[in-house]
Amino acid sequence: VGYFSPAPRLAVGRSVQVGDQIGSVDVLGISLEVTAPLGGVVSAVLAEQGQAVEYGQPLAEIDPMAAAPVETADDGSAIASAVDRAAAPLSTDP
Amino acid sequence: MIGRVLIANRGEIAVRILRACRGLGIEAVVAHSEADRNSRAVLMADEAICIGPAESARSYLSAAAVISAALVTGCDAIHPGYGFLSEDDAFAEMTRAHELVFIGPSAEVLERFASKAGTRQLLADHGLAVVPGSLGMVSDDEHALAEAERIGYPLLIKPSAGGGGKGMRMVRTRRELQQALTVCRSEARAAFGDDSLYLEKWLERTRHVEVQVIVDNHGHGVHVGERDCSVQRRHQKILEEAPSPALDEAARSRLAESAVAAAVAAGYQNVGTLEFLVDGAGRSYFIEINARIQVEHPVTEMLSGIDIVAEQIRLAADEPLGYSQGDVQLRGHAIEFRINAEDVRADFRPRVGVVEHYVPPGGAGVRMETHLYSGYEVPPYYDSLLGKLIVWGPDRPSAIARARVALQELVVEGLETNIPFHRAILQDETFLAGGFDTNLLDRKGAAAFLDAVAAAPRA
Repeated sequence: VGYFSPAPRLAVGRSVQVGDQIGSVDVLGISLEVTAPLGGVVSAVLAEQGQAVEYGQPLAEIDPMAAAPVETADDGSAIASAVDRAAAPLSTDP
Repeated sequence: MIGRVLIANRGEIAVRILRACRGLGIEAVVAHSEADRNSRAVLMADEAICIGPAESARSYLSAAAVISAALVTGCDAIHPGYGFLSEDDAFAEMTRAHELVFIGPSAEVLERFASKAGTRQLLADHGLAVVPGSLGMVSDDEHALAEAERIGYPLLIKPSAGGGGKGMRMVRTRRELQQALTVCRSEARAAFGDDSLYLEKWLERTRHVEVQVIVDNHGHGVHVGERDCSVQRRHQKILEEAPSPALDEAARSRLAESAVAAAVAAGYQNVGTLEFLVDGAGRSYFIEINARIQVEHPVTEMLSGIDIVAEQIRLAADEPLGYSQGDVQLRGHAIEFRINAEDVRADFRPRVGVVEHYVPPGGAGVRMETHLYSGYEVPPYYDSLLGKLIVWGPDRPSAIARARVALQELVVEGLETNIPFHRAILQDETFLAGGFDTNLLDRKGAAAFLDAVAAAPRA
């Protein structure tokens, strides 16, 4: 839960690897990394610079190159898990 | 001035706070976990924001997630409800550090009243009688046993933090105490992250009576009478009523006046409840203060006409109380029934499932506080409270008569609830005579109440 900043590589058509940082969420001044839960080509960016995002909100869609693109691209759970990882540190009070 | 409030809670209290905000012309944003997306408060909110997964530690208990949610949604205050972060002084301090108003006592006040043992001493210094007990926390088993000898058995082991009966045990012998200390410590540590314990003399056949106080930030306070919460099972309240059938007019005003005087003198602020045990002779002993809105606050609202949640918000914004004790008029009798999703016969085991059909009761003096609707799925992660039925009547017998009608009308289908148990309580001779004590239910067993009704011919 916080303000989103996309990384430069988070652009439609760019390819990303699993674990690449695709952006960050600013939570009370602390920047939490958002990493790609899967590798592939970015097919859509769903949140803009400075946008307030909630827990579990999809931030981007990634097409894994090796798999059937549509099904996984629309797989909200895989994308949400990127946010999930980023949000996990929130439970520890700074 | 508060214009937009983040409600950092769930269930019926989130709905209750939301309504209070609306009544004051304040916008309400509801912070919720992934498991509460379909909760009534979320559906009613001006805006809703998901703050974490179902697990409370990462959502409703995450100070950073809650405060960040308040900031990104443009709120200027946070209402913590009850439980979760409501009495956490570090959270209140962090809220203030982000220039948000914490709707409740200030961080300093929460800190002063955080330790139950410390609070007991503080309020004893301001004139309240307390249950004889250990001097502060018991540091280790040896200390506990020595203190126990001094106070005398039977004893109650209590955790310094928290409530709801967790980490609490009654022991009658030295041997029982030795065994229970380990269990209580681990329960308290798991539930509250703090395993400090203290001992209190166990008083037989007591009633639980509590006084509602409202105190502004400028040293003015009133009491709004007492509530009797003696119908309990294992220290968990099931039904609350006011005024207490155990006290006469003189004892009642003595108790309430001494409570508010001590709270004000000790520097308490905002809305709070002082809990007392009342023994068979009518003597009252202070046990603890709850620095938050309580589940059973509507009982007092029905008698006084005061919107206690609205008062919390107003006083948190530093407004003066604006009235005095003489302006507080208490009328009639009110009873609250906690409607839980549970199997009473299976030791009150919580139940989950879909509420297939919900029909609230109505009529004069009947109020329902709930987040239920037909089709709502009760998630398994939180407590079993589905709502509260509150019934008012000009006197106790008429409140009971209206309650019987309301409990017959209330329909919650699809999962098991304790509604039949409440109907049974209203047939119980001891309850009708106003003679319930806090251990009656545990002594008799819940099934006995249900069986008594099943066996009786229908009136």
